[in-house]
Amino acid sequence: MDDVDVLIVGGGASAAAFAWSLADTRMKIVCMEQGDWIDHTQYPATSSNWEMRNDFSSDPNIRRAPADYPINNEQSDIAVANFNGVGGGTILYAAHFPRLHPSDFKVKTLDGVADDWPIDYETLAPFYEVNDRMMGVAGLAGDPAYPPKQPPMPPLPLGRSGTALARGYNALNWHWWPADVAINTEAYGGRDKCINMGLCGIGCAQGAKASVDITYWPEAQRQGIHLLTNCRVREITLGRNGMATGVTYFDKEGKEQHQSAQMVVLACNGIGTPRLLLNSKSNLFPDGLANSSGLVGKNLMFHPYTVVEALFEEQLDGSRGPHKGIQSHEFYETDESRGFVRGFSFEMHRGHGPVTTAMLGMLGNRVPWGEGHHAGYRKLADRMMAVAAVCEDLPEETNRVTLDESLTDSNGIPAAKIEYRISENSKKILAFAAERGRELFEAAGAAEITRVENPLPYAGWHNLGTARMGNDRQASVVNEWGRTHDVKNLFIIDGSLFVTSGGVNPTSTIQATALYIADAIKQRLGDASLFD
Amino acid sequence: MKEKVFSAEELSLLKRIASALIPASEEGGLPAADDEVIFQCVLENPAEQLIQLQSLLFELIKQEGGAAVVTAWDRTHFDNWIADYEKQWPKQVHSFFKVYIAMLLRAYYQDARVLIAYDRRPGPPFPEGYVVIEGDWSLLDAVKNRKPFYRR
Repeated sequence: MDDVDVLIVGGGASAAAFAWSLADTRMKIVCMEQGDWIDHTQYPATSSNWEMRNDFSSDPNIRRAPADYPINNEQSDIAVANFNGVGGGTILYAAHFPRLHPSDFKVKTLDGVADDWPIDYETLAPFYEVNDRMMGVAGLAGDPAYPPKQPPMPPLPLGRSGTALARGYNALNWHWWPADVAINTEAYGGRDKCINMGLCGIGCAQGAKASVDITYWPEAQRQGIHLLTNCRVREITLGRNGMATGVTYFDKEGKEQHQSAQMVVLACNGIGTPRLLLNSKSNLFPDGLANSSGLVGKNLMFHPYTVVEALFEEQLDGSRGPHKGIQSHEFYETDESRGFVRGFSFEMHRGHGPVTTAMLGMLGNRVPWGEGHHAGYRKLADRMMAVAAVCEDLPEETNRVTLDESLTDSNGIPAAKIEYRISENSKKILAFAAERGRELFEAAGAAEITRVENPLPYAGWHNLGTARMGNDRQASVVNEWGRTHDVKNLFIIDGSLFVTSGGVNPTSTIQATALYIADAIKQRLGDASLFD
Repeated sequence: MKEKVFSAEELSLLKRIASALIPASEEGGLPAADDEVIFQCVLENPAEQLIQLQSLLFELIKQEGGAAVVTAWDRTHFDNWIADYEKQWPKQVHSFFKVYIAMLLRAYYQDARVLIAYDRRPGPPFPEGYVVIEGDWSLLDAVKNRKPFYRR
């Protein structure tokens, strides 16, 4: 393809929103995605053995699809989860769609830790709104944990599980509210309402869940954006003037190609983006592109999770219905009397499918071998539910993404290696959350606590902070509108640029930030100051 | 054919163990895990997993004198042998049981007869989906009265 104006690397949540926003500039915009379009008829929900399927596992080391790259998690307390293909992580996310709180953007000012973001909640608010409309968000206005907002659709059903949990929250006088979710609760955006399959986390065969392959991308393509699949970028190329000239990539046949571009935009998530930058070495940037601060790959934040699961005597929803029906932000903001800074949110897990119920029942010795098996199982079926605490992780330079010395993907590109240890502050949040989870289920009338998993070792869904945003070029990788400090036509728009993680799922903020950066670029196109 | 992974003797033994782990129950008309349909589903696992299972089975029964010896045990002897392993479940038990139980549960709890017995619609979740009741929204009234508590 001839020289293009904008080349976006990655086809997930941020790329789709960014491309759609930029489409009205009529620039020549190309997106390269290493995976393919996902055929929704192939999702596990279309087969009876949906609980047996590994092909939609969130662990790339288990999934091992052609589009995946391996990740070395050996030195990490939490394993990375992701999906590679058009739609990226939104293919497998639970579609829990909370925003960050206003306080999340100024943790240094409020709590004396980490750093403030160079932007604030008010800056992103209009972009959150646009994104809620584009993705299709269900929820309820009036949440006292947030500034006013109006989700375009009514909330998910509370169900039996949500009702039981709400009883517990009310008994303790704790906050709870219907969760914002990117799931249709009525016909919206050409997609029908959710039919409660409960399998959001392994792909929504119906399309009620808003993955960007069925929301933003079709709209962007209709406006002329080119989305090239099965193209894996190896490195960003640099001209003598220190500006990016394009990318070198492997096409579907594995043939190395070069695509030149006036502007390169990275949207490969908090692991893929630093990996690509670190793989783009040159005389000018021997430690990786845009890495004069030395911070590319550093400050990796996950959200450490603790899960508390309980057994009830009453019937609950089981695996029917989207899991994230209600949430609590009672412990979101800092309270120094708790012995830690920052906090967490609780999200609901409605229940388990039949195989998982049996498996957990046997592992917990509640379902015996032999004669007592069926009676044991009957006590658990559709009677278990859980809460997960999404704990805020603070940035630490020792938690990082580097390049593995020997592991490569199928094109021979060095793979990412994760070094990550849960901090003392995060451990305190996790322990506190586990106790509150127990308290919650006791108040809700649960018969017993069946499981406390702390931390959840495979929960590296949110990969944040590895190319952080800031005004100080010594202490950040990109400026306050996503342009790298070092290369004036190179932008980053994914979760890498998070300064802090907040205590909620990040997709809504990742997309709002991508829309904000697109808007900033458009403004600077207008006055020709984009590359100043 | 994946069942060719196993000898007739091994298949017979695997079925006997399956039946001991999850026996039939008249209540609800539940089949045992050695039921032909369910066991066939076990055999539909990827070949490398079946070969791993075979190797673990061999290791397990070697210490008893081999398949022929175990197959010849009477019911009491066999049940006691299984019961001894259950005492070691889940952490200390022989890896054979960890792998085999996972396979059995995945096959058993997708069987239509089993799902119907537990009031669950059999078959794929799509396209029919399921019903979730609205629940008791009056519980939210207590929270609606709360003043905003986010920090700026």
